[in-house]
Amino acid sequence: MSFLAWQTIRTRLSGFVGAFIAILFGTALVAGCGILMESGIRAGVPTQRYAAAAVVVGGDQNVRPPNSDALTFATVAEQPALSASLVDRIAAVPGVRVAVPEQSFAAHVLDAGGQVVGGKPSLGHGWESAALAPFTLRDGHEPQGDDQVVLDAEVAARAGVHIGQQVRVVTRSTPLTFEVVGIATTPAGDGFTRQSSLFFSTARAAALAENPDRVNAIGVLADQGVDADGLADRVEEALDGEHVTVASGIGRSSVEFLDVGQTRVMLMAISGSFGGYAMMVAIFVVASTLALTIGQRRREFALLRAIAATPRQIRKLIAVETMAVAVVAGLAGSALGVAVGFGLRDAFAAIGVIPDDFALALSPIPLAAAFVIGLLSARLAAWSAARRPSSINPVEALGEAAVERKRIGPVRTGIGWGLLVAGVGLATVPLYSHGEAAMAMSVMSSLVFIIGLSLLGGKVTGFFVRVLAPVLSRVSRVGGYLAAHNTRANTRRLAAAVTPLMLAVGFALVNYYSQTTSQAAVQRETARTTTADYVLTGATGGVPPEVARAARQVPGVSAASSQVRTVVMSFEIHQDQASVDRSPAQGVTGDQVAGVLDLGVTSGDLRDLTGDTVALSEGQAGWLDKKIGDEVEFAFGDGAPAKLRLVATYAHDLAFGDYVLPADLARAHTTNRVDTAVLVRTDPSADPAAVRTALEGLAGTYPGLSVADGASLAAPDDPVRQSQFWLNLVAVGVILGYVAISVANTLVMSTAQRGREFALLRLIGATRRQVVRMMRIEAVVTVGIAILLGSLLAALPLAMLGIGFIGSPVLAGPLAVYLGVVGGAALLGFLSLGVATRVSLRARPIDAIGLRE
Amino acid sequence: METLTRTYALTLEGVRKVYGSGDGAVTALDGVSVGLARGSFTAVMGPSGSGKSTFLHCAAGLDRPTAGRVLLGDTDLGGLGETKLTELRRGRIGFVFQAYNLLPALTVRQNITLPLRLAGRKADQRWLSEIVERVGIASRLDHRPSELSGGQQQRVAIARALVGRPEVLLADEPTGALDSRTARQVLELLRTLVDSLGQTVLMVTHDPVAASAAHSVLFLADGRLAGTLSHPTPDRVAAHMTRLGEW
Repeated sequence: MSFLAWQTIRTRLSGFVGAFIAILFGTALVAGCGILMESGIRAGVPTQRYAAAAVVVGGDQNVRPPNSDALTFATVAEQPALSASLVDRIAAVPGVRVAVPEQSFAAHVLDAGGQVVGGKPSLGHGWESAALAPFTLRDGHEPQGDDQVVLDAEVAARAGVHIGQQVRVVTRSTPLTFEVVGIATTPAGDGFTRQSSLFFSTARAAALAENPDRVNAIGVLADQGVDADGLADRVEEALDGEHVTVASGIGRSSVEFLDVGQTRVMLMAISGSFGGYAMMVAIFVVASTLALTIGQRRREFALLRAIAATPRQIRKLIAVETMAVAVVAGLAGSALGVAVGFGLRDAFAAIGVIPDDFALALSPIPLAAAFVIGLLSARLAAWSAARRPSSINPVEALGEAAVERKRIGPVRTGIGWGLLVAGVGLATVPLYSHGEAAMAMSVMSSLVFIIGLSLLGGKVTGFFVRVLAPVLSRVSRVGGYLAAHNTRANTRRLAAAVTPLMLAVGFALVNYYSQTTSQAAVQRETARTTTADYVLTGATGGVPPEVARAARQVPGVSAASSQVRTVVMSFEIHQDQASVDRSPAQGVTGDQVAGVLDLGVTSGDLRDLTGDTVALSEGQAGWLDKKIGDEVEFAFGDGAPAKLRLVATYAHDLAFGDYVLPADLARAHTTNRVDTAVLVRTDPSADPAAVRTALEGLAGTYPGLSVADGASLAAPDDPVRQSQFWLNLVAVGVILGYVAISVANTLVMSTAQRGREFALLRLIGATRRQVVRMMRIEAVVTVGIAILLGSLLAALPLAMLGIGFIGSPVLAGPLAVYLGVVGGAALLGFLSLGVATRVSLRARPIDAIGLRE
Repeated sequence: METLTRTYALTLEGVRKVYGSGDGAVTALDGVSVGLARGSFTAVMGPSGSGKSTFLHCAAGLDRPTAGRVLLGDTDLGGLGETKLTELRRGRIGFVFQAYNLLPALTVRQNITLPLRLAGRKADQRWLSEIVERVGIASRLDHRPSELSGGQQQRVAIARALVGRPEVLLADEPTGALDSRTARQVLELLRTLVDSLGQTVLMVTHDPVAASAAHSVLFLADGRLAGTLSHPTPDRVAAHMTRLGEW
């Protein structure tokens, strides 16, 4: 059979172009996701502060629920600290020359005009940790007293300060004045791209960090000639049982930059889920393309059957042909995958989902894996496409007629209807659940609809055609009449063209509008929840904790609450299985919050929110089965375990999350230990302008503080959600691009197949224009049904999402995107059909009619 | 000339057809002149490569001669553009092919009336019922082609070719895909149409039996006319072909 297969491929190369394209791009997509996944496992950005340290020990980056297995963990959202006492144990490990504890805290230089020198994070450290980079003094001397500071040359230049000058520095509170006693540089340059560095004396740094027993990291300078990875293993062994992360090589930046560790985990998650989507779509596309190619060769297989080839041999033939094409396409696709991977990286970097300097790791593994996955999907697709022709009755198939048989098996019909019902079920999830999961279910629901509809295939399209056909004949006597009969007689061919187009439309619509709907829901609820009149924010990434207190002293202010936006790790423990999920949370001032946020308290009292307490959304409390007074177990953003007493539950959970903590407690577990904002409510009798002026006056004490209307909180500056939105768009866009290729593929193939039909029409007197018009009307039918079905299957989940999230089935989001999706689908359909028709018409009809099918 | 155009339904004058150019040029027809009288049934025979198909294509205006003229009645096909040619084919020429004559999506009736619909004309119901009666498919009008036998499908194709009252009916191996019994029935039908309706028929074939159904047979060899035969019988046709060398 392989001889025959090879001969067939050589002589009918064009017949395999479709399958080749489908496998090529499918493999490329999977390979691209594979590269991202590998990079999630072992890539990163080069370390900056720890370049000279062979090994870096940081706080544990992974949060695990109690008694869970190794695979159940989440990554911390705030920088975890570790105990300073570990320094001695690390120093005792053989090969360690010195273990250097590093304090790290936000410290911003003010320029001569009192403005914060920003542009990038600015961190203060003790001078001893300068050796880890290593920073060396270009001028001056190291900081000794409490009022001396050394700046990196880059920030010193931007601030315009020189040795001997006084400089004001903001840490967590009011500015402090220091004398610049040294300018430091690293071997790499004047300063770092990602951060500015300020060095204080060891004692002063510990005091400014306000937590002398805890350090940000411990850097290990190794003895000469010691292998870093081996040393890391020994350090890890020595620290066995401690909650720490031991890193060497590229992993050091995960300790240094919280976003790098998060990026890696996110890349793994994204590439996993989108790689999975891509794989499913690829199998779907390859299978439908193969089915079309193989359907066109029905007669050839019948002939083989007639000369006594067994069904098994036919299947073998198809398998061998497909594999031969898949090997070539897979190799090319893997290579193309590198471009896809780097293209995705650039796109993700452009939308701010991953750091600009995050470099990908490239090895043959993901390429080889994508190649194998490509082969396997092709094999699976060949198997499914070969079932029909291999069981063909030779006599029947050698007959003249090329009209398809109508039957769809009862099992297939049953599964199709079953999936449609399941889709409806999934679509209703947002009615009783509000999380990310509900959105995922909406998307899933539309996918289930699509698969169900594609199984029912001709049945559904047939229904529309029966409705449309009489209209078409009336509209156009020749083109419409022929198109009506063609589509009615070949509903399955029509369905094959409609399905991928419908998939593209539905998938695009659900993905886009579920995001805009949930965004709208969040904005609405934020606006409804916020009763504050003013919001105070800072220029250094936060507001000093005492600002809330200061605001409360302002005459005319009736309430002022800290707001600390963070993330907690919620545990869910069933009998034998534990899971952990990141969940947005906020810290507020318990006795003030009632004035600035209307959380819709349903039980308990937020005024009790002080000390070791927590308030939960009703949904979360119900989910965890907790009542007022119960203890709730979870982990803070930095991974520290929390066991807090439940004091209140509330209804408005879309805007600020499921967990509300006392501000002091929440703040203590954030990286910078400052407030995100201060929410202020004025007394109705007070003069708003006067209050505002007074609040703005606080900026004199706390540089960088700015005052905005409470309404500005209505559009919460939520970069995570925003980038998630773009992330989805990019990933969905890539998949849609692939679907578009396959749509064009399918339409071109199914049209090119009809060369004989066109030839016959022209020989009996149809003009070229009449044939083109017929195909144009068929294109209208195809595209129209695809858009209608695609919109319908998107509409139900989205309406449910709308009802669940914003109480109205009317979608939020610009209509232009819908029109764009529909227009794009129409353009794609018309172009593919139009080009294929014109190419088919190019052959002389008398030649074309004699062609083999 | 006056008399020619009046008598002849189709005239080929010194038709020459060369494919390609330079060294690779192939002369398919080399100065063929033929006139088909109205109401005549002519078969064209010849070995493969003799130019039979090119002859038919040029006669139908599907292919343009390199030199010479093709006249349908007194219309010179050489002067017509693509659209005019299509309209002319639609109105004045009927076609029957070896196979794949019918659109699978249409019923028999719809297939037969399709050329009229393409031309934007209404079907003449009396003429329609006459031809379906004559070709013997009156009871099958609402069936689809897939439900008919090969012979029935060719009958439908002939009915379709006749529906526009063409001046010439061109048939390209119309019995090539049929068994001998069915083939004979189709040939008899063609002959009856010629004899009773005065239809002009030009048929390309390689089957001596089929050729013997015609009034006369034209033999082609190497692109030239290589003899004619009136009142052919299968034996005489076969003998002539044998003299031509191969077939």
